[in-house]
Amino acid sequence: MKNKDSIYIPIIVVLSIVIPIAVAGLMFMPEEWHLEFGGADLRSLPFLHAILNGCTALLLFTGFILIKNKKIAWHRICMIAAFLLSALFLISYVISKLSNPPVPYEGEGLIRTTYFFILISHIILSVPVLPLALLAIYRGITGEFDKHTRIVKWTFPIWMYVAITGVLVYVFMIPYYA
Amino acid sequence: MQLKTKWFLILSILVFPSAVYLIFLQGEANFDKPLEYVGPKTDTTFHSIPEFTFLNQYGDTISSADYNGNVYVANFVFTTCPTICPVMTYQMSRIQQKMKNYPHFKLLSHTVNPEYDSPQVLLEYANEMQVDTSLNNWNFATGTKESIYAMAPAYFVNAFEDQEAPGGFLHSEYFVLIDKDGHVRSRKDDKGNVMGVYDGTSEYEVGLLIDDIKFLMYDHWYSAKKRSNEK
Repeated sequence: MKNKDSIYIPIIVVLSIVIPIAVAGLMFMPEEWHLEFGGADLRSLPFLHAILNGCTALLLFTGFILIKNKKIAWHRICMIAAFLLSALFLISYVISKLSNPPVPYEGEGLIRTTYFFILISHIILSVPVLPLALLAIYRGITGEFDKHTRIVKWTFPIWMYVAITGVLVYVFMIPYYA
Repeated sequence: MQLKTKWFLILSILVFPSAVYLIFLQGEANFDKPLEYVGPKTDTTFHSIPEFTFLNQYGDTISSADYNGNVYVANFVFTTCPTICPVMTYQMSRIQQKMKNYPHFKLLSHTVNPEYDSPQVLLEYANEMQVDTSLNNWNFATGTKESIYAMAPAYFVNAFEDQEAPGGFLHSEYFVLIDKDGHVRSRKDDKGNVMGVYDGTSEYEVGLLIDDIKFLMYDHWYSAKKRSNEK
């Protein structure tokens, strides 16, 4: 069994380093390099992102209930769907950041502190979701249930938090989107 | 936000779960079925596979001890079989590939023509049929005619010599699923009857078998964990 780990684990490690760096690189890219996307109207993307995050949270919860009921195949479908939605979100999020000027948050006082606490914890915790999710999927489809259980004790709460706070960040921002 | 975009999004939120529900109804929901014990049972024990000792394709001795603690699929073939055996062996290799990353999973093909099918002949057959030898989990068993034919009833299949049958031997086209404790297992069919065995020439039934193997592996892990938690 050592054999397949020596192939897949390095792939997971490399992806988990390269993707966050690439995303961060795109975020901090100078504005004159930003893309136009043929003048497409991408202003409704934050709403789509909230939907994607909300669906991810729903799928994670459904997948959790399914495995508690020994529905392993349905559990697999749900969790992989959650992963695909998260991936779709990341791609769409990067595109929207590259094509729209940033919208500032204008709330004051306690609500401002709350918003930034949620936003910053959401961003920080989203980084480990990728390796945790990839490892969980890998240990799941190879039938290594002990390792799968150990890793998802971290994957599930962190991923769930990131998905739910993704929706919350949008809710906080609704008044400031024109 | 544009009104059109909003309606499109709301519509897709409604369509996505409905699509999943329809797929569920259209017979894709064949997995996660509980597995029954096959065969006669007393109050306390289930039918189980008796001990066996054979030679594999490398001429090594293999026995039931090598299979205890493993989930495995068994079948009966012979190398000069003109009809269904190539299909069965192809389907077995499909199972081998689908399960290749799972620990504690094996395959066992018995020859019903052991006089011709020596270990050497079986090794050539395995290579010809694209068996993944690197996984080292699939034995082609040969031995005396009596010892092999005696195993068939334990798996609820037929295997005997028959001049009338194509190739001179009669054997069932079934695949049999055996759990880690040596019991034959299977799902119930749509009518609620225990299937018992899986048609090894049917792409569809082998698909069901693959789902059931995965479920059985999980079930074994789940009960072992529950037992260790109770202690």
